[in-house]
Amino acid sequence: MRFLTANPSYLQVTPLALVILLFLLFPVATIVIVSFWDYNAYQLLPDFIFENYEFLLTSSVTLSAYLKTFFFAITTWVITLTLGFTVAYYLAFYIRSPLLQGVLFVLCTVPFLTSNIIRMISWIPLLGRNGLVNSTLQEINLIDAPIEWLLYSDFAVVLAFVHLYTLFMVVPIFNSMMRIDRNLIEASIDAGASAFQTIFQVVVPLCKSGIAIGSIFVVTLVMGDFITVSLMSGGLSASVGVLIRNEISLLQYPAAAAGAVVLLITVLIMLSIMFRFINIKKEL
Amino acid sequence: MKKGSVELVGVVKRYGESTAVRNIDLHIEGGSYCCLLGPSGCGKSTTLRMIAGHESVTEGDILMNNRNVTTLPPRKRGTALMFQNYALFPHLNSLDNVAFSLKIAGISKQERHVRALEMLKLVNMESFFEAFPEQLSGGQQQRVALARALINQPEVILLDEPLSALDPFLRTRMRAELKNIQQQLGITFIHVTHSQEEAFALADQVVVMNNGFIEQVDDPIAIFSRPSTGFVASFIGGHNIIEGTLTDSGLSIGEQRVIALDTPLKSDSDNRARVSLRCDRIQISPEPFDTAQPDPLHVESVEYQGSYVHLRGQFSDGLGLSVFQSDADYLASPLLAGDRAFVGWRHTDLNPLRPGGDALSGL
Repeated sequence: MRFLTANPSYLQVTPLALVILLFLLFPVATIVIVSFWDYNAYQLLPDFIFENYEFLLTSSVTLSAYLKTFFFAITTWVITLTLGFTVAYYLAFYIRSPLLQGVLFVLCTVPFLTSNIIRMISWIPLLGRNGLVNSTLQEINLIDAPIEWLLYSDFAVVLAFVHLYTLFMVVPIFNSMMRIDRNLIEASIDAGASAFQTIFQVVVPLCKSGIAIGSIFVVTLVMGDFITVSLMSGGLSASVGVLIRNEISLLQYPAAAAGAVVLLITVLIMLSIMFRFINIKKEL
Repeated sequence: MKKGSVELVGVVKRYGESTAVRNIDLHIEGGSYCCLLGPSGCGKSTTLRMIAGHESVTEGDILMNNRNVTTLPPRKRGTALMFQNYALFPHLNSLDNVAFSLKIAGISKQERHVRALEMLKLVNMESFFEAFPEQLSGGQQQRVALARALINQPEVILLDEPLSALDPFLRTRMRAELKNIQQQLGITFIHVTHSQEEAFALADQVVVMNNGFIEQVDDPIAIFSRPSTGFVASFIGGHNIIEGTLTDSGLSIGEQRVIALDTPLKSDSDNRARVSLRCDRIQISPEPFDTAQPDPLHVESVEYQGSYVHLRGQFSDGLGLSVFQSDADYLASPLLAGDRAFVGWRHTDLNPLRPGGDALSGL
């Protein structure tokens, strides 16, 4: 008690520490423990075996799932970054009136008023074999037969990811752009920089933190996703998340836990690489 | 003609309905130090930004070295702008900040660093070449900003209230350094300020602006000794403005007082006219003297200012005057609020003001 009165800051962090302990550390610890357990068709057997990891790390299915997941993550990251930066740049530098800025910004978030699933499913009538896109293209005689790769393909998966996650790029990048002193842009122009030089020499370096935060959102969300991949690929593509989900549905919890641990470590490594480049703490 | 001359011909700037700059004509000699002086919102910054090329010109032309640059981008004008908050790039160190425009121009890293270091030496900042702006004090940031402005050997440097963010002590020092560098390099400096002290200390040519118009263009001595309008006289301070009706014998104020004039005075349609009278040119004494006004001034306040004493008073007919008395005279026979004293001046010290143009209220 005397310790607590002498160090009230410990008391102040207790609520947050408890929440993190209960909802983050405890579940993660459970998953790590279960990942070493054994299992049969209908029950979990407490044990300490490495077979789950052994199977996971030697299977070619895992490798191809990881490659697919990286492919989705990197493609989505590149596209959302380009789109997000462009939208944020337009909002921050071209829209002069703060009112219009706010209205357009809220407009960007309107899709988030519906659920992820609804937003994804709404692509199906658009992209399907007899969907709006195909029928329109056929109507104007651009194509003879419907394009098959529009739906249930990697294209559809990436499209859905971009649709779902671009805003996660826009918000942090817009936020850091709004903090850029407008005089810096003029100073750059005064130094003779073209618009592109100003963007790459001044704006991009100064929104590094926003770009990093947006990238973390997008990459972690895509890396852990299973629903978008299974819905939009029609079960044709398997990401790491899909594998884990399949194992759960077969009640192979220890295998799924091992998969989750490996995925967690992979994402943590990716994040630590990102933090290497950008000092987030400095910007927050 | 010397390099770096700037000329504004009939320049107008409108933002939608409102007019920021109304039809300005101005010639700035190459290699001179010009100060644009005025209260906030008078159009001085807009004028500077138009010269810099960061603000489009609604009407009129801007000439540099007799070359029309009205529509040229900033870099093509041979000008460099120094921003009020310095606008140093926070992600670059001092050296790269100074070398920024060279990098844009595609000059190799080695060469631009050599040249940038030279500029940093010129402003005595070479030992801070690795420091980032946030690690520098205001004065140091200012030097780096100046070095950045100088690196392209511009013919004209434009400074937007460069000293306003510094504390008073540093301000005086940087002021001297600015003047020093300007004389050393012989380039044109155009400096926007709202401080007449700064303008007087630095400028060869002071341009007093108000409400989008130029009120007066002159050297500091002429501005202070012969302000041309009531606005100029009240803005630079230290002047009394006396208004009256023009009669044959002089300027008549109230019922009884007539102030004799030396110089002919222009009046407006109502025959009203104004003169300015420097506060430090008014003689004040407890005893009547030759040139004194017949009736005594009722002293209302006495403020000690160090080298002088600021006395405010009023005659019985309502005419109020501010008087700067030297501290030696004051200490010889100190006046107190409530005292009566006689004041007088030489006729030649009365400076006629152009009719029209409002005096700055509240001064």
